[in-house]
Amino acid sequence: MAEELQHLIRAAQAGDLASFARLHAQFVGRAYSVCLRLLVDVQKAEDACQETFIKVWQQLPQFRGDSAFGTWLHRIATHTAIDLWRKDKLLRLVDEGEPDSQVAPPDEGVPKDLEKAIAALPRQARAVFVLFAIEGFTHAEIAGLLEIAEGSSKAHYHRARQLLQESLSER
Amino acid sequence: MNDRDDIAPHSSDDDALDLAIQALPRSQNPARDLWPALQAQLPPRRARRAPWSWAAAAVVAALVLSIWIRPDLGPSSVTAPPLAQLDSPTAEHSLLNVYETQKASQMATLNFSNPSVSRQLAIWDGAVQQVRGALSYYPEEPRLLRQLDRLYRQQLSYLETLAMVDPQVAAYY
Repeated sequence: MAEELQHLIRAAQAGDLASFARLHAQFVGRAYSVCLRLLVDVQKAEDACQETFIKVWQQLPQFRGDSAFGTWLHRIATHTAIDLWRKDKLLRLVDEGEPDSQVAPPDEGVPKDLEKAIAALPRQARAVFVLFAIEGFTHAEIAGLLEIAEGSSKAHYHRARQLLQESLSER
Repeated sequence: MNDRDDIAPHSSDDDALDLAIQALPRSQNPARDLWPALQAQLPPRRARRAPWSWAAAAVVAALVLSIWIRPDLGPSSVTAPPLAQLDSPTAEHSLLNVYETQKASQMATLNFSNPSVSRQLAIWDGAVQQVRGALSYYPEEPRLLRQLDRLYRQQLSYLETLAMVDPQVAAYY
């Protein structure tokens, strides 16, 4: 399995589109997932996902395997989604406390209540929550990614948990 | 104490929330296939030229020659893809599709348990993998594609001969 992945990576590094298509099929779900949870909009999540794989294609020849390919790709997806999240924030000039109005419907079979409650969180709290609780980033890393103080990241996270518990207990 | 411990004392609600978070899927596929649109946007990229790959190609060539064990086993009914395809970017996959199908079909008709046959087939498979490895660095390299083509033809001819001869005789192949 790992050997097959290495072969696909080497072939894609050399420009083989068929191998890159197989890498895409293997990793698109993971990339799309973080994009959708951060952006809460199917179209924007798809755009971020496409941009992620274009960057991966462009940077692949420089990938030396210092980290796992999936981890490397996931980092690119997260950064890409955060960039769009930040641009979106500037464009819409929304109140930080306002949740996004357009909530993406979760897939069948996932814990829908929690997914919906996360999507309905205020933007900053949602971003921190997704990155910390689901994606495994530290508060220091999140502070750097979102350009906020580490203490703010922690505060947003606790607020997000409180809101989620309230939301879930109402259902 | 790290980030993960830096949470207020846990209540049963906290535990329930933590469990629900753990149950969230880490991967969700998009509702539609994003590949066709992505493929259209990908900028062209030239094949990477690894400095050692000519050496790898030379090793492959030596390997191919070393397993050319039965020159009399020339291709007979083996159907090869048109030679023009060998120059196309997808030539490697065309070859694999055509030959692997034929090979699987021939293998299905054979009933042999001779270890020397398995060993011989494993040598060919290893050589095929070597050529494919070199092709990953030189996807458009016609000589490597021809070597891959030749390896498959030899392998299929060998299987074809095995299918025709008596199983006891086949033990000597």
